[in-house]
Amino acid sequence: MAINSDFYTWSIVCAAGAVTLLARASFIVLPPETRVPAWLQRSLKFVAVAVLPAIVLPDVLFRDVQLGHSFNSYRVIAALVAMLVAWKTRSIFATLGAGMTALWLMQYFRPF
Amino acid sequence: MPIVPNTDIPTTRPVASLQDPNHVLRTPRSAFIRGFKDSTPAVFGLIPFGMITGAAATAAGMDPWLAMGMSIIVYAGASQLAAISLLTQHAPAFVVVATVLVVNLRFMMYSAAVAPYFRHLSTRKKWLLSYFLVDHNFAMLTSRYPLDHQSIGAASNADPDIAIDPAAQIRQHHGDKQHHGDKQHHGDKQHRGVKQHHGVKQHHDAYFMGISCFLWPMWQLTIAFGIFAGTLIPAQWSLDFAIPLIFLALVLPALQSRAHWLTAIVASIAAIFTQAMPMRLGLIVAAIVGVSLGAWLDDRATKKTAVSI
Repeated sequence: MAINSDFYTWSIVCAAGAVTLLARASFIVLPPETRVPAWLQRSLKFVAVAVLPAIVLPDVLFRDVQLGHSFNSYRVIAALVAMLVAWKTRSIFATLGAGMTALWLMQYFRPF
Repeated sequence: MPIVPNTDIPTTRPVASLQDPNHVLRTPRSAFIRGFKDSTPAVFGLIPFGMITGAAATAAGMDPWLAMGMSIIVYAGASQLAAISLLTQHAPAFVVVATVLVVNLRFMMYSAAVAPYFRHLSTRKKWLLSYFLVDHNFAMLTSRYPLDHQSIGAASNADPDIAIDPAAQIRQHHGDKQHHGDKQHHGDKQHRGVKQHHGVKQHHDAYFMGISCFLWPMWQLTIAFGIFAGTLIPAQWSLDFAIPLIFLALVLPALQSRAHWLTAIVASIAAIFTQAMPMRLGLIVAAIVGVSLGAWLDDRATKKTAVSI
């Protein structure tokens, strides 16, 4: 699961930096008359809630899956605990604490 | 904000002026110092987040120099975590870059909101300030120094951690522009009033750089410390799990409407069903499906309200 530190990976990082800078500079460097298209404005509201779960799910379900299992049950349960805490507290650190503690407890006691 | 004694400002100045935030912006130096001081409380959120990002990079098997380089080149926490997660899954370059762009699209909203403050600057300065634009300095500038009375409400609604719905800022921005446009139309020289307060030039750019010159080194230092700490933490601790946890903590509070919930659920289902697709292409498919659905639902909802009114 290691990430190679080669020219290819560095290029990806530079490209990621370039698109990030473009997003930041967009309306600062564009002429003041520039308007945000309605469809873009509408879409931007839903970017985070669509993309973040799509990144999270495969990571939670299938990372470090043990032999004989179809998905990583410890991580799924820990993520469900974290979701509940995130919903109740809206705090990043409470969510992190709850999720990591749940995972560590299950990894230590191995209930199933 | 903690009360910090202004020891660096000569005592010959009237004391009352120190309490007036607009007076502080009269010279670039005092504006810079005010920005630097105003941003210090941010360390409490920044240190743990930076350390976890650094440690998660190491836990995911990333080279320390690559992790540090990415932090300097990209300089955006959530997208760094997304990139690390995708790089470990050997996603192709365009999937990683597209995901980083999408996670950072919110900066376009911030860019639109702060653009009026920087309009008089040179292009080179505009690019320099753009690099430093993050959630925190956007929120500080627009909430502490709103462009006019109208914008005070919109700016103070901005969440400094993550502004999922910054569309209000954009609408506000257009309002301002029309406002200034009108003035210009009437031949009023005050159309540049953005950088002025009661006719006095305001150094918003120096204030912004003051904030940035605190945030940037602090972020890079905590990342470096996290990377170093990460090498000492054994792999059994599964610190890479911090990445999905942070994303869950960002998503759940953002689920504010039925359209947001449906978007998240449909994108999740799409992500699972497209899991078998090669090279994490499923992520792109899930994102497009989710965002299109959300935008469509939102469009339908606005049309419905328009008809009922």
